[in-house]
Amino acid sequence: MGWVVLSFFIALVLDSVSLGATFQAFNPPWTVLVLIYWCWVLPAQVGPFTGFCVGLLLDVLSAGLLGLHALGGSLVGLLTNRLRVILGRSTLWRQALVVWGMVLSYKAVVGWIQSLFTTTDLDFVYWLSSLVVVLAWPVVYTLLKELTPIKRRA
Amino acid sequence: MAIERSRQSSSFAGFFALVMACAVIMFADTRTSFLEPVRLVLGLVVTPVQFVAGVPGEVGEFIDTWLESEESVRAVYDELVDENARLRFRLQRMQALEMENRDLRRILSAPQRGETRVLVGELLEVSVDPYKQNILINRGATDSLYVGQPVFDPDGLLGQVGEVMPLSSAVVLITDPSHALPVQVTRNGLRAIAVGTGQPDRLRIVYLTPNDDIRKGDRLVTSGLGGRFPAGYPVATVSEVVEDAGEPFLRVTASPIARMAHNKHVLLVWHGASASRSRERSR
Repeated sequence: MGWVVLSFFIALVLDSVSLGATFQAFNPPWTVLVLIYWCWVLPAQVGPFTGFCVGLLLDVLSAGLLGLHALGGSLVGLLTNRLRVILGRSTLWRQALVVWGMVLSYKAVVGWIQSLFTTTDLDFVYWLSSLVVVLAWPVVYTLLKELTPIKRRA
Repeated sequence: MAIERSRQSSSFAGFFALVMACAVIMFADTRTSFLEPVRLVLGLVVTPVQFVAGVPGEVGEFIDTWLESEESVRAVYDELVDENARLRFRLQRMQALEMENRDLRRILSAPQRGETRVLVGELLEVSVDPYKQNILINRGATDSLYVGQPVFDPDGLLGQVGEVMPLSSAVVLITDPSHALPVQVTRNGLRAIAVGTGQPDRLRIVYLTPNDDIRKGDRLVTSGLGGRFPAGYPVATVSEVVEDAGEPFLRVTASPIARMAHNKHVLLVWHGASASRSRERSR
């Protein structure tokens, strides 16, 4: 369990590192990716509730509406639990596409609620930036698989 | 198989419960202040994350200062000494004026202006949300900051404290799309509302009709209405006034005087009642 907490900590740090205004939108949602990984590998321990807790931390970090990312996190937890079998049977790149779909739905929920409360308009960049996930997923997957002793039971 | 199915259905029920919990939390967060202690506790949990995330920025800064030549540092130092002398001279005059102002107010039996207390905070190089105009500073509940506290930079109004965590707090800039503040034109005292646009160099001045006297180049200061910001501090300069015959209101844009997100240091201000309150607390 220590590995899970540690990886979430690192992901939260990566999410909040400042990259400057231009690149910030293209910083992949590391926490969501790590959440998907653990939901998949440890389905009995990590699920929607973990997503909810991590999402609350993201809410406080982003200094925004409390409960917004928590909702997104719960959704990702549920989706991964449902699509566990598909993830297990796919190659790395097809996995990345499935993960991209999950991140898109996460962004849709978060963005939609955010636009209800503020006048933020969800521009093209908001959706386009999610494509980075396709590149980031293999990195997250490989690192977590090689560096942590926790293995997925086939 | 049966076990598998029951586990799945329970996870759907669990998810539904979580969604309801999120809805309740979001409602409570927008309408009430019940969740302030929760935020404080969670803020304590994420504080290490913020400090670790700030490290790359600090390292970059360290390398910058390390690479800087002695002459350039010397030049900046001389400039600062110069400026300090000039500012202190102006302060002498300010003190005299302040005394005079106080006497005049007494003669007119107008209420005295409240005192202000200032604390310097430092920007943490941490991204908050690219779709919001927010910054993070290294002062928090331990410095008795409060939500809604005005934040300045050396040039003008920067924003207000939006969220207080134990050791850090988030500042909502006046350019955030969810932010609006009452302002006044220095030239004629016209009152208006300045709303953020989400772009760091632009504010929108809303609800001014073509009859209102506002021009390009007008300076806008805080009007002090609403009591959140002290009156008379520079906010923005009007950069464009467009009159559209089909629209009931003027389209006025202004550029903020404070340099959004370019300053390393910000000033946290306690004014009026909050100044005396915070003084009492620190005793």
